Amino acid sequence: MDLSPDIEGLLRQLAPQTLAALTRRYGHFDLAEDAVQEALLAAAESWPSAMPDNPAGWFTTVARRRLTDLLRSEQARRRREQSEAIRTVPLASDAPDEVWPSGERDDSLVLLFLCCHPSLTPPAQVALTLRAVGGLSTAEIARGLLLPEATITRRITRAKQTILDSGDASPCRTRPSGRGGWTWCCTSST
Amino acid sequence: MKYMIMTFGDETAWDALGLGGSQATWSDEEVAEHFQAMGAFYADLAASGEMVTGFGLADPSHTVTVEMRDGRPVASDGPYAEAKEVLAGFGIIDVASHDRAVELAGRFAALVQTRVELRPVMDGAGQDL
Repeated sequence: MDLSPDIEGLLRQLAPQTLAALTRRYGHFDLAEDAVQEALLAAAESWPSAMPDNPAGWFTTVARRRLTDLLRSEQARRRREQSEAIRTVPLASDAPDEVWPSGERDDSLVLLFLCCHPSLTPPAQVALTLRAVGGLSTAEIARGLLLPEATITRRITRAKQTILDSGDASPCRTRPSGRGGWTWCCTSST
Repeated sequence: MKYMIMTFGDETAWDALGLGGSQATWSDEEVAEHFQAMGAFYADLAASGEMVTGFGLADPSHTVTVEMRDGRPVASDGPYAEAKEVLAGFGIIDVASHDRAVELAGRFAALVQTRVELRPVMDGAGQDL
């Protein structure tokens, strides 16, 4: 791309200044660098035919918008990944009961149903399932869900209380092992 | 007595004014009109001595969460949870009565065309806390 020496000189000056300003204001050095590169491209395309009245202001505004746009995309991607991760939690109890020797059944299926108790909100179901069925620590769940540990602690505590308050030991119709499953769930590992 | 008026919005609130990730979705005239109306409202409050301070906040994608982990403050981007409405701006007013605060909140809501919330500020100045 052929730029006049004037424009090229101006951009050489504006790019590092804007990168410094964006980084100082918003952090994200890497994304700010991408944003400035895109602003450079936009300027190189439009300035030769239409020079803005305030080139520095134009350049900063475009770079700032690009940074915001890049951040939004990245955050949307993380949200998608997060919900995907939640959706694909492997269920250890998918296997049929027959795989366990007679007399020994895996109660985790009952537990799983309990953790999905209809009176719980989906976030509560997820947290409780990861704790009770998945055996993850509160800290691990918090890290996985990108939430503060205290939030998860409260969520799990409230979920257990909600199940207790509902008076319904297990939402699954057959309730293969009676109240055993849910008692375990509501009393162990706080 | 002081009150905080808070305005809320989703991403489109920033996009409308060109403060988000692209050019303004409103026309230049609409944007200018909005800022002029806000400016006039703030000027009224400044003249009556009821304005303490007020600011709009940057696009929510720039939010950072800082929390204590193992006794040390740790900063991370986000929250990423898709919030329909987040804090978009706030003003602190110093008024004679709750009624006046509600009245001003009403004018503010009309200006920003969204729900606003009003909360008393605990400034320790009165016995009304």
